[in-house]
Amino acid sequence: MRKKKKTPLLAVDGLHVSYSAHSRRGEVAAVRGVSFTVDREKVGIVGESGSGKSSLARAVLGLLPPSAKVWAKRLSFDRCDLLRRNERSMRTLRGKRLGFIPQDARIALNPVMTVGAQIAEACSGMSRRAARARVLEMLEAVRMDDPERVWGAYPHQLSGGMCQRAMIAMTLLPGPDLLIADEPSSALDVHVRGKILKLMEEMTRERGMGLLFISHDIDLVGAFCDRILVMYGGRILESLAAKDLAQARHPYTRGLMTCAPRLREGWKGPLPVLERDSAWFGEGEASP
Amino acid sequence: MTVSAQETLTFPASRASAGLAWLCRVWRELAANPLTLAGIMVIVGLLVMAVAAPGMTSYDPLAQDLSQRLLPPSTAHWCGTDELGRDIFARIVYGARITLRIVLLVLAVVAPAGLLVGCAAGYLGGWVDAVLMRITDIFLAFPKLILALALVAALGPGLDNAVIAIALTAWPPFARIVRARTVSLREAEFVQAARLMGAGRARIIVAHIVPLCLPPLVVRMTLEMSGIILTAAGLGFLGLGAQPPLPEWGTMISTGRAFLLDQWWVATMPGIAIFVVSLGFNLFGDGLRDVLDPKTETRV
Amino acid sequence: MSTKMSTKRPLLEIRGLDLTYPGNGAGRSVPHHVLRRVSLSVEEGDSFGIVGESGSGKSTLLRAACGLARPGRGKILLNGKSIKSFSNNKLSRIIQMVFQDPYRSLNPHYTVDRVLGEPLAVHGVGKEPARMDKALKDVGLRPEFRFAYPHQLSGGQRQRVAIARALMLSPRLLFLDEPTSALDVSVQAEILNLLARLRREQELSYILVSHDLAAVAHMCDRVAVMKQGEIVEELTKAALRKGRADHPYTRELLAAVLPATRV
Repeated sequence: MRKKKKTPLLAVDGLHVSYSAHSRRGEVAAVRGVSFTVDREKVGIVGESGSGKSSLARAVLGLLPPSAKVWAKRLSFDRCDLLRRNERSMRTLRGKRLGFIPQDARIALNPVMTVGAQIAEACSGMSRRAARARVLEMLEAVRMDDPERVWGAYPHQLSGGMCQRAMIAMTLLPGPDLLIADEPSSALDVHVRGKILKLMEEMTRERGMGLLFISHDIDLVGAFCDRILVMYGGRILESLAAKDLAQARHPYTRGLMTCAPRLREGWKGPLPVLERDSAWFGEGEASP
Repeated sequence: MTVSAQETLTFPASRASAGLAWLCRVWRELAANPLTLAGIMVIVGLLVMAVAAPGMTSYDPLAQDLSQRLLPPSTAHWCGTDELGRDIFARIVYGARITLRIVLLVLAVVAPAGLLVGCAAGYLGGWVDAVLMRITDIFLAFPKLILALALVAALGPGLDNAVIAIALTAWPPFARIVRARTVSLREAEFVQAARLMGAGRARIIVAHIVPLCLPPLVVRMTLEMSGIILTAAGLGFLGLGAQPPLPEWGTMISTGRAFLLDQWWVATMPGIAIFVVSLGFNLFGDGLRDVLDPKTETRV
Repeated sequence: MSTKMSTKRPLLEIRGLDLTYPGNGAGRSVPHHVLRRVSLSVEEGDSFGIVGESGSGKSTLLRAACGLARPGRGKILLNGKSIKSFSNNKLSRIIQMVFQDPYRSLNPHYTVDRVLGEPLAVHGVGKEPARMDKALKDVGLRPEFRFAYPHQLSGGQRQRVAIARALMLSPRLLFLDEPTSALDVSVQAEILNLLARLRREQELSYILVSHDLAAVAHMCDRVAVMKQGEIVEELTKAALRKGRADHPYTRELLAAVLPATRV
């Protein structure tokens, strides 16, 4: 039997993440048995606060605090087993092949280094001139108004949106195979957001980059991604193609879409409220 | 916080039980750290020694017996005797009272003073801030012991003068800490909400700023205690603090210095006492800071 | 609503408000012109929205209008009288504000009871348990929340407490500074519904500031669009919904709103 099964870029099977909480007795389970794959496509994870989506991203990247417990049946990135890797080998993967855009760019940037110098760190093995040219090129690609000024500026001199874009430039520059973005456009103004998303789309298409896009905004994810995973209480409640979002079956997914105020179609009365069913907490894949 | 955790929380039923719940939580976290617990036990030991001194030793710390001088540690005299035949263990135990008195008197003066100066400077800003902080800087510029020496020299030797001198050198760090905290709290949204309610400056400082300045202040107090003890011991060592025959630990080291080579216990025993108590306060202060750290402030 | 006479004085009127933060050398050596001759008026019972992106000055406008930021040039009139003629005490009974971040607008060491009791204490009014319970009930919180600490509450619950606190002094005009930006979309719906209900029941007037066009269009009758310190356009709710905007910036903002998925 020579059936060659294509290895997905990221394969997650039965992932569990829990934190020990000393103020409350016992542990807090943030992710409770999540399984999915990401290939050269845009996969969106939608969830509210407490759904576990950020913990999931950090578990894949190995960025959880040492007190967190992570276990899974399978957690692999392009045939590398991420579970067995120690910190040193994870560092060789992160940056070059596994990119990460954290939620709060301002605190993710080093406050005592210029932005240009930080982004240039991603260009290893290049001469200083070549690195600077590459960085300026990247800053233009993320639609910075004045790339030269940003090159020499410190993070506190830039606005929140500019820091976010600098972070995106830094992450995309080495051309990772898989990009995990945690609310990358939440700090951006709307017209900049469109351009950044377009840039990420280009990279996915042209360079075959995989994208795991985490957001609380279901309309954004529906418009931008190819597939959507809806998370609630540490589990995936529904997994569907973005184009099928309107036909979503789970009441939580439908609730998320109906409770947001709409600009063009007005509601006369109060907004529909999401009635949480405690049964949802027990649903989803319950892999041991 | 996972979604289901909300429903299982029960809330306190009254203000008193809310406060009590907070205390229990703080205690539980403190006790979880073994080093902090060790520090707490040292402090409790010090308190017990001070309070129950007569019960801990039958010897009189001031009673001289020249036939028993410079005896090494034994079952009769746990820490030996000094050059005048006094039991060293008894002197250490009674000396705990003096140490505790110095520490508490200094803190009673320094903490409110630091709070007042820091809050005023931080909240009012402008020239008030500039003037108060420059005064603070001037006091900070002097090495603590030298300044204390100068003050004691001016006031005359004695325990109470030593307390005043140490207090005058110890207040600047508190003022700074309080000022830093006040400046960050001044623009907090709950302070803005209070202003919008019509609360005056005094009310905001007393009701909002001061209570939130207390945790870093208390932490700093516990960490400063060891410094205060050492400064007092230094003054005593130089003969400027507690006067003989009071069993102040620093004075004991000073008089024991002459016998250090052959009768090491005379100077070393009080030295160990100072070391253990300073360490205890430091360990407790570190643990307290971890629990009351503003970064975890949102958890109260 | 239209039975009001047009000759009646507006509740709040801002005329030519102009505010510049001086350069202070620390990181910002250039003076920052935050508000550029902003004018608007809000009638009694109105719900007025201000929409803009980060840095447009919308939050600063609110703060300048209630005295939390430095006054700047221009006139602010409350019921026809200059706002400077109102004492702090009197002003606090007319204008109140709900802040953006529910995690920072409550003192972490105060129980809910103390938070709600503070405005009463400042004004020398006694704190009756019945009044506390009613305040909690009005914002949809059960009485047992009375002695909880903020860290024991979710974001939505904290914001409800903040709203209850703002209503303790029975104000006429409520400033809402991005009250739902920090909350999940499902919680946002609950809070927006709560605010709409309270406005009806207590006959309040609102000024709602947000970057979310859809939320503002849902809550407000009239909307002002701000860009870099000035109001570029004022629209009615209907015009906003139909996308009938004149100013190119407004059009840009409207175009960027994603079509909501129809379920």
